[in-house]
Amino acid sequence: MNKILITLLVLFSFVYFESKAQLTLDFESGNRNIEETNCWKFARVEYSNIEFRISGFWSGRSEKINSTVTLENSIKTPWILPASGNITMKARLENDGGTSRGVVFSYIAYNPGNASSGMEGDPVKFFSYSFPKPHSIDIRNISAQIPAEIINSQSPYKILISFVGQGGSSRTFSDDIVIPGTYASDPSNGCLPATLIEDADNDGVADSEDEYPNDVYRAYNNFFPSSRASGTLAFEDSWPSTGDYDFNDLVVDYRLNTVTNSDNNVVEVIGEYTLKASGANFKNGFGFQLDGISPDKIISVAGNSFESSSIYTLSANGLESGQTYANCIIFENFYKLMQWPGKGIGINTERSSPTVASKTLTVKLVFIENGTPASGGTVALGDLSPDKFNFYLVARLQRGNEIHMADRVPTDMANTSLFGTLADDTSPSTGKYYKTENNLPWGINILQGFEHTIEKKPINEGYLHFIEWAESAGTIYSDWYLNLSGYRDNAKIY
Amino acid sequence: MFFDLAQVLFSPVFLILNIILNMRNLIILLFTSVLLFTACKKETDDVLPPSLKSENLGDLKASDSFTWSTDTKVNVKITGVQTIVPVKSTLKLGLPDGSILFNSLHLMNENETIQLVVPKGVEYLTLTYGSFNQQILIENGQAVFSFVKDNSLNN
Repeated sequence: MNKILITLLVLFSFVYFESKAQLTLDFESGNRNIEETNCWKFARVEYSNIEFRISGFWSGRSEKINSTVTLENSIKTPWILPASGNITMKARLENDGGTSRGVVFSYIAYNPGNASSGMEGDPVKFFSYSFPKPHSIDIRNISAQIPAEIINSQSPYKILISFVGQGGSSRTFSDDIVIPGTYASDPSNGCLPATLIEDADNDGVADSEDEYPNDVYRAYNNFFPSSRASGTLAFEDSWPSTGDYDFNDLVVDYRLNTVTNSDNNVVEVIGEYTLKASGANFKNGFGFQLDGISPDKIISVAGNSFESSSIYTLSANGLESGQTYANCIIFENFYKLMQWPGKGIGINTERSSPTVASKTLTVKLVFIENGTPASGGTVALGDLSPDKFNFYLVARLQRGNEIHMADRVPTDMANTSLFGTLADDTSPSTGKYYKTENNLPWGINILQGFEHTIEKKPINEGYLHFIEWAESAGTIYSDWYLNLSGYRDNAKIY
Repeated sequence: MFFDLAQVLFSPVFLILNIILNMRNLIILLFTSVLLFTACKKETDDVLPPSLKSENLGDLKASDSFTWSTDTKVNVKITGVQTIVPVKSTLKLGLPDGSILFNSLHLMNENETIQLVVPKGVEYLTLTYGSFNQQILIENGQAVFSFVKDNSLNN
C-alpha cells in the first residue's frame, strides 16, 4: 500500500514557483522593460526621473490625464493570488490644473475562455480616490483594502491601478506600490498564470520538456552534429608520408549524444560510429581524446572493440591508461569489424568489389551513474563542447602512429619523433599539427556528412570545388560536399 | 522639293556620314556587349586568379589558419533579467532545420555563454524558452539573446 502511495506521489508530484508574500513596484530598475518582462503592464505610464519623482530615483509618470476610462492610463499587476491587507501607494499630481483627478483600483479575474485578451475578465472597480481640491503637487498616500471576495482564492487575479480625471494637462506620478499577495505569473510562458507543472521524476524539469520524464538522473539529449544528421571523419593513413588524398583509408560517420541531468551536468556520452570504408592495406584503429577532461571524470566505457591481444593498456574505467586527458579507443582494428570481401583494395572503395554492409558501434562513456559522479567530480555540459572531441586514427596497429585532424594536439601516446619527418611539418611551438608544409591535412571532418571517393581518386576529382574551397581557406564553395549541379563527378564517388 | 531631299539623302557625303554613324553605333554595341559579357563571368573567377588554382590537391598551398572542416564555432550569449521569483525553464538551441543541439535547465535571471559548433553557412539559430521562440542571428561568430525586450510579452 505504501509503495502504491509513494508511486502515486512521485507520479503526480508538482513543482511550484517559489512564492513571495507581497508584490512591490518602486520603479527603481529605471527600465520599464524589466518589469514588463516580469509581467507588469503599463498603459500610457512611463518611468521618469524628473524632479517630480516621489521617492528614490524613479517614479511612474502617466501621460496627460483626460479620461475616466480605467484602462487608458494604468498600471496592471502580474497575476497574483491576493492576500488580506491593504494595497498602498504614493501619488502626486504634476501641477494644480484639471477639473478632477483620481486613482481607481480594480481587480481582474482569470478567465481562461477569454484568450484574445490574455485570459482576463472585465475589471471590477473596488476603490476610488479623488485628489483633494484645490489640486496641489503634494504627495498623497493612498490605501485600500483587498476585497474580501478575492482573498485566498485559488484562482489568480490582477490589480488594475488607473489614473483618471478630466480637464487641464496635469499628469499623475506614482510610486512605492505594495500589493498583498503571492506572485503567480509565469514570465517564461507568455505571462500566463503559473500553472502546476507535472514532473513525474521530481527532477525540476517539466515532463513536457524532460526527455527522460521518469528518470530522475537524466533530463536532456544534446546531439552533435545534430539530432537529425551525422558527420563524417575521413582519413589518410600514410602519415607522415604524403597520401593519395582520396581520404578513404578510414571513413567513419559519427553522431554524439551528450545526456545531461537537471543540473546540466553530463551523465553520459553515447556515440554512434558507423564504419563505412577503408581503402587501406593497414589495420587501423580509431578513437578520440576529450581535450582538457581528466580520465577520472569518467566512470566507465562500454561498446568499444579491441583485439584479443591489444596494443592498448586500459584503466579500470575502460579509458586508455597513462594519458593526461581521457582517451577512448572506439575500435582497434577496422578489419576485425568489417570483413574484407576477398577482392580489391580494402573495403567499400572499389565498385568492382562486393559492398560490405557498414557496421555501427555504440560506445557509451558514463560520467554519472545513478546520481553518483566519477571520482574526479562532475563535468558541466558547457565544459564538454563538441570541439573537445579530438578524433584520431591509429595506423598499422602501432600505438604511437596516431593521425589527427589538422592542428589537433596529439595524445601522450603519440610518437612525436615522427613530427617533422617525411611530409609532416608539425611544429608544436606554433600550434601546427598534422599538416604538410603546404598545410595539407591527413584528416577532414565534414559535419554535414559525406560520401568518399573511390580508390586512388583524390577527393578533388570527385568533388569539383574542393580545391577552390581549400585554397580560399573555406571562404568560397563552403558547400563543396553537396550534390549540386557541377559540384561532383559521380563516377569518382563510391 | 521631294527631288531636293532625295538628292541630299543619296548624296555621297550623306552616305559616308551615315556609314560613320552606323559604325559608331556598332562600336558602342560591341563595347557594351563585351562589358556585359565580362560582368556575367562567374564571381569565383574574380575571387581566385586562375594562376592560383591548383590542378592537383598535392600542389595547393592552404592558409596556415585553415581548419579543413565545414563547421564553425558560435558563442551564444544569453542575457538574463531580474525576476520577482526564480523562474526556471528549458533553454533549447537549434538549427534552422528544426534539429536541437543544446538543452539546459536555465534560470531566467542568469547570464550565460554557450559555445556551439554548427555547420558553416548557418545564418541563425533557433531559441526556445517557455513561450519565447525566436531566431537569433549569427554575426561574427556570436549570437545574442536577451530576455529583456521591448513589448516582448504583451498580454
